[in-house]
Amino acid sequence: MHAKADTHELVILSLIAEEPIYGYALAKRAAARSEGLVTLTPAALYPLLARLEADKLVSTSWEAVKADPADEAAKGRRRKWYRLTAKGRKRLDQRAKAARLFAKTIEAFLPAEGA
Amino acid sequence: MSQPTPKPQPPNTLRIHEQGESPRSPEDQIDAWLDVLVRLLDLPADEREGLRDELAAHLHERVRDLTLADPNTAPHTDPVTRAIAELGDQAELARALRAAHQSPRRRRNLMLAGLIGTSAAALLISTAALVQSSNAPRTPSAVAVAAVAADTDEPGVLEMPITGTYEKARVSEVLRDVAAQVGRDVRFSRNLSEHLSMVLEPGGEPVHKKVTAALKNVPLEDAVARLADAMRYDEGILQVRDRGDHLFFVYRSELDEMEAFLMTHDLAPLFDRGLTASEVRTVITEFVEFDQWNVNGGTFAIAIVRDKALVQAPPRMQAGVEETIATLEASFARDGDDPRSRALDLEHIIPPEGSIVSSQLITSLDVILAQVAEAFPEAPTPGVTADYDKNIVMVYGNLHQRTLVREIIQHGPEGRATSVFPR
Repeated sequence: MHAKADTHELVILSLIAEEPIYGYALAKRAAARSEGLVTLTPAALYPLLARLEADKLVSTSWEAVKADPADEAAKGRRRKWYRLTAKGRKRLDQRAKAARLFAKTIEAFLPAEGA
Repeated sequence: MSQPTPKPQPPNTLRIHEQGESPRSPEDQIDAWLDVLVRLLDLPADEREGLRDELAAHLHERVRDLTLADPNTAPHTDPVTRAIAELGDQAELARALRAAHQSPRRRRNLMLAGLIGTSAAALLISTAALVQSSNAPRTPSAVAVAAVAADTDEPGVLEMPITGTYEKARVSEVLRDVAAQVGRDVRFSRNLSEHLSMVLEPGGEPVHKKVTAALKNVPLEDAVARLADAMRYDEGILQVRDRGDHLFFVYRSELDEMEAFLMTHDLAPLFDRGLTASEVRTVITEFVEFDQWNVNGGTFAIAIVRDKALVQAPPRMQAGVEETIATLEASFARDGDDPRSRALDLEHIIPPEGSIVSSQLITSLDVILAQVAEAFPEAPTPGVTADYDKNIVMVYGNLHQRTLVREIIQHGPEGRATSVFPR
């Protein structure tokens, strides 16, 4: 089992399912949504995105960055956007189901709050 | 006069203000870093450029955020340096990106599905051994897993040393040479044979797959792995079996299909604990080699009939299914479990009415722990702790261990530890 990789995949697929998104925004949103508990480092994020794309769980498209006209260096930059595919939706549903079962299992071991 | 020792540079940082150098622009620094990364990628040009653009966009946006967050950034926390450092080691990142891009492509090219993993032979033996050594009752099928492992690999031949220097040599000839060194003939599986000499055009000449490698006294199995790596195959994709008079070279997917067998796994203990067939199937197909199940686009199947799981899969996966069932069983304890059960639970024990958890009890926990461990030597070590502010004792263990702790608290362990005191 690869708990961390599985968690990251679930987080990424879940965020991409909400709306098309690009890598950097995805990392920021994951951190914000989890209040800093989930940190998608670039070293983890981009290889995982590449794998999801290669496995056809996400589709991608490029968009030219709308740069400040005064920023010469920014011209020609582009962002890669990710969208969930039907296959990705199926994988997300499976991951979510397994995660809920895992949470249920852990819950069985937790003491009642305030006990 | 000795030169001062240069201060070691932390990895992934760029020299920005060295003497005699003019500071480089953030753009230059990012470009320089990406240049190195891209050179390490070893991917087709369009994929390299795509990754470069994506990471460049990330870096520029990150630098902007860091700059806005702290406009008075000190030199040692330069936003560009920090943004680059966050990407990690270039070689590591390149390796991860390469693997992510190459694995599926090679899977497609080789008409293989879901073949990421470690050496099947080693895993086969180790998982079979795990099944044999577990406390769970050994089923005939589980024993069969070990038997398959034992039959498949004749110890010795696959560990024999191989030496050879191959320069753009035909892979089929190299493998033939490897086999000859251990006194074996060679046979290739159908798919492997096709791919080692591919005919790309109708009526055209075969294109032989070639490899360059140098081996010196490398154990045969490792030598095959190194040759596979030199051929840019994914780890574990090329397998070798000793079949007495010949070595059999085969893709792992083909081997899995050859070795797959039907095995029955008992699910009654899981259903007794309230788990449903759907939950069990989900956990197994999610956590045991996800891509290999037909429900996930793979080859192998699981069907749950009454209280049995019928699994058609290779030995490696059968062992994984066994282990997963045992883990689930251990996770859901039930009353009446055997003391040797691995099922553990956390219980809060409230002392008898009118008693308090004392500091003396807390200092005696080791004694209680030892007594419980002695009573159930085959069970995992329990954990006991106490909180006298909340007046509770917490014990982590199976039902019988928890019951014994409760008894000790209520009656005292025959003078060895006075557990609770009247208020």
